[in-house]
Amino acid sequence: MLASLTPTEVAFVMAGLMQAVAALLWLVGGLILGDTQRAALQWAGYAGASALSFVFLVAAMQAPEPAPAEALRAVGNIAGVLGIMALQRGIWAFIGRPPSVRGHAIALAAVLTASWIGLEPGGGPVRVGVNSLVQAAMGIGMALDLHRHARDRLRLRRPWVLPLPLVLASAAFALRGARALLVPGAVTAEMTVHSGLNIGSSFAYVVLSLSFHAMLMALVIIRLVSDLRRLSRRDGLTGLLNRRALEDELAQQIQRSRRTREPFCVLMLDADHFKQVNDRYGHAVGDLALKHLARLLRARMREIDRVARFGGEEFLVLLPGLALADALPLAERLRQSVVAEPLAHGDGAIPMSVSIGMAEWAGPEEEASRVLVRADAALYEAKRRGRDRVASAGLDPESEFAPI
Amino acid sequence: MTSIQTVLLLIVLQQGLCAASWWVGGWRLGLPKQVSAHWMIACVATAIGLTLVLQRGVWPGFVTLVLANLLIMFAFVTMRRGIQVFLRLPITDAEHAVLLGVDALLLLGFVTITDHSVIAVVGASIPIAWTLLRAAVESYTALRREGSLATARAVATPLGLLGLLFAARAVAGTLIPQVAARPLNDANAFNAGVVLAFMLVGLMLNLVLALMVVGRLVSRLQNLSERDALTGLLNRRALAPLMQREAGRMRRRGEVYALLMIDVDHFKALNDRHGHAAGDAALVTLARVLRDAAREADQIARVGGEEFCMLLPSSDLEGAMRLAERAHAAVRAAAWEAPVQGLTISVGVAVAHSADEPPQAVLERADRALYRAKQSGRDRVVLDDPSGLALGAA
Repeated sequence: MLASLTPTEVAFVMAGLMQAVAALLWLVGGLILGDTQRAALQWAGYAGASALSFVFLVAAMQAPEPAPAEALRAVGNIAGVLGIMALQRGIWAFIGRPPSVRGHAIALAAVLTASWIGLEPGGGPVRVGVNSLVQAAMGIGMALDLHRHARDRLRLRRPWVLPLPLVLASAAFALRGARALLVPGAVTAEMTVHSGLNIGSSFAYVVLSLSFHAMLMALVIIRLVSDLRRLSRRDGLTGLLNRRALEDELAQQIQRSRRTREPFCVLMLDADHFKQVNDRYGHAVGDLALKHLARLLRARMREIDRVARFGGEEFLVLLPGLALADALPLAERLRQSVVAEPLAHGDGAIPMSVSIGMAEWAGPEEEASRVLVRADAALYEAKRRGRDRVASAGLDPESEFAPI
Repeated sequence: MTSIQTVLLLIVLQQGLCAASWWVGGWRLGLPKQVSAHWMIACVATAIGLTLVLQRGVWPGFVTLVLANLLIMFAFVTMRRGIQVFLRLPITDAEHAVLLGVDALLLLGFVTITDHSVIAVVGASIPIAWTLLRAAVESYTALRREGSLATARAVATPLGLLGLLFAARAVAGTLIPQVAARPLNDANAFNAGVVLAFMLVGLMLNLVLALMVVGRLVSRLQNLSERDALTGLLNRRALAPLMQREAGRMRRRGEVYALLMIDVDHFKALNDRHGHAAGDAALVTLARVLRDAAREADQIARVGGEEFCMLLPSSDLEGAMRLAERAHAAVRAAAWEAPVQGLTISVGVAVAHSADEPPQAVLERADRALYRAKQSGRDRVVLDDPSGLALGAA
């Protein structure tokens, strides 16, 4: 059977089969993907509809012209457009954009009308033209959405690379549509004739439909990787850096400071009597208190400071470029603002305070762990002196603490 | 151009595209480069191998048959090796070498004794089938162990089926050699089917690999958002749905569940005296001790700085108390790293009263029991006040 097909037909059969495989894989993928399950199912729908449309297009090539062939082509085209709509709905679901039912209704109406006109003698070019332009328009819409998502959410350096297959396909469809409407004679024999151009374009078709799936996979993978990076660097509750991320930052800062001799300070902060907040109001309120502190920290510290949640109720800030004398007023203002802005709870407020230990990097000889130990010792000293205060470490943690 | 040639050409295009995708994956998307490189090489080898197959009758048989089939075999082996690198499995290079060697011998035999084409077809199919089936088993076990059962199934099923397909081709080649053992460029229906299948196999393998990558990323993401980074136990957020699940099971099957709230005694003092690093190390040890004391089905979460919660499915009062006592004793007996010299825990125990009691209420009762354990001198297990039920009813 295969031997009797022209290369164009073979290419279409193959494209259909590939789409069927892809549909299967997206269905299975939907089981794994969790959050993006809805998108995966839509993409399975896209691949399935696309496979179906190739079946109809091949059948049309085998059928007598014009009576059943034109109708088969029309059905194939409609299936193809429905598939593209599923593709778009999947992308919308993935990037969290509300679906536009109206846009799809208009597109579907245009395609149905054109298919109906296409059944009339000489109407073929209208069907091809309108279908192609509708698909090109949807393709451009998707490309713009993906570009925006890649730029704003995924923060890719070259956000235009991701939607490239869509742009190429849309350009091809736009050309094909314009040609059908402007030079109707050129299209009547389109794809039914065995020519070099047709073989080439049917091969391009196979490659494009495959590259759509590669693009979608890449989209899914990029977002997973970026979520993973963010999650592994951030504390889930407060959104501040986590311990590991801050240790990285600290190591980098030390390298930088060894080169440039730029001073820096480490601020260690602990919420006073936090256990009592937890015990008295429950963990939910305890969490709110931590978020409240995180907000104050972010507001009081400078843009270049690195703020992290270091443990349960402990926070750590890296202050680049500041010597101890310049950093202490900053810490003091932070302490005051915690007292001045208690946590709102119900109608009242829960008063809070923090103890802060400060340490300045002692110079090129000092390792990261050593600065942290000194800041920790200063924090302990602040606690010992009665909490709600700032203490700073001398170069030797055993030595006297400078009162402020 | 015959249809089989058309299909082969399309496969070459397809594999080229897949190779480009893996390149993008490794060099732009942050997949492990070594893994991407394996799969990219596999795609390129397949594409070159099939291009050579396309030249059958034009170029000498040594190139179009022996070299082509060896390249394809090499592609399958490289794909499997990529999976091994990706899943951190032992790399079975000796096995790969043996497979390639056997394949080469059989194919060379075919070139010298041309009427034994059965040997070539069977010889080319069996090593491929073997490679695929072994890859299926390997990846299933590894992914299963990592806890992503859905991914394990999604990856192993197609790999296994494709392996069986190649095994079937070997069988067909032996049973009906006049049809099945003719070289691929011969345009008979069986070969057309084989070439089409080849195309689908090529695509499916690449998609399966992509699926494996995605599935693993998803499970790592879930792990990160559900686990406590220090101890590897569940975090508080992850515990809530598990408690709901137990409440549902109690409603359906009447299985009672229990909760333990655990707090480390004088932990603050330890932290202040020995520093946070020592405190952290103690928490990690404690997590291990608790996990060892618990049963397989029990879930342990770190719900606060030094506070832990254990969810015990299908545990009545007696069972919960027994487990609490065991955990308590295990912590006392545990060996601690210097400078920590022995820690104790206080445990509050609560058993669900009825299926209608919200899990949060059970948790609060366990918390109150823990509070009483602390009040009455720490280092002990306290059961939630049995009169609590009467109080609640009053």
